[in-house]
Amino acid sequence: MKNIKDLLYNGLISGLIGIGIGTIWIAMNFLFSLNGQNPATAKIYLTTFLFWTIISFLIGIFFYLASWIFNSEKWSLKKQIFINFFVCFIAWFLLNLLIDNFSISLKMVIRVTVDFIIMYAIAYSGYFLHLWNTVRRINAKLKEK
Amino acid sequence: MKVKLNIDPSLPEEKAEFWLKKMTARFERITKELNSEQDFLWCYRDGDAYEINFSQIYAIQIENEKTMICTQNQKYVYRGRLYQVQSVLPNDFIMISRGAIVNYHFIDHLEIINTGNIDALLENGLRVQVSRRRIKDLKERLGL
Repeated sequence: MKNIKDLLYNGLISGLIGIGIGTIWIAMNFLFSLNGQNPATAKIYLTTFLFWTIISFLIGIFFYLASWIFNSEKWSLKKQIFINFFVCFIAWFLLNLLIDNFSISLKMVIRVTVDFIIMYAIAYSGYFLHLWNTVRRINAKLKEK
Repeated sequence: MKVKLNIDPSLPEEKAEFWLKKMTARFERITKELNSEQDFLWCYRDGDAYEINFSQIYAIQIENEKTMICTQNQKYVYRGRLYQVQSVLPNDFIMISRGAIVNYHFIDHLEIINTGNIDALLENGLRVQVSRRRIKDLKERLGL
């Protein structure tokens, strides 16, 4: 029961983090698409905003589930990152393909790849910074003995 | 938590009683330790058997499919599986990966190495890999 509660809680937190990152992404994309238009009067469709909010939530949950790859104690960290990266990238690429009505172009592939690399770098930099900080705190506590 | 100890050498039987709002993993460990009367393991080296006190054990890990008991300067073989030895160990020991248990009092520090993995360096120089999943357990045991 505790494991299911942990799973749901962690999934929810991951989804909310996904919304946070996704909202920043929506805002940045929207600002870049204004082409000189005054941001104060620009409009975005509510359905577009809601769609991307829900997708961001689901992407956050997917990233959380994909992070279970890091639970394997048999694989080296490099192998874990490699597999996790490509699992997430394939899912992200398929999502973009679906949104673009399955039309592939070189520009689309480059855009999707660059977007993903940036998102992945942000998400996992945050995770490893947290891990490094945890190790630092543990070492400080061990020195107190 | 308030702790009250009543020391009386003439007591016929020792007992401990806890008043808790709910049972936690920490008190399960404390209860297990209080109920255990064993404070050593039978280990083997070069065909001879040795009684190794828990307080002398730095780490217990699987090497070449054998359960090895590591003290400050020696290694001994334990004739049993890791889960079997884990069931008799006191609260000082924590499982840091699927194949290793350490006495956390003997951890000198942790290091993140080049591959991104985490090693625990013990006071006798022994290096034991820590699973990232178990870092949280170590934090809790240290009271962080």
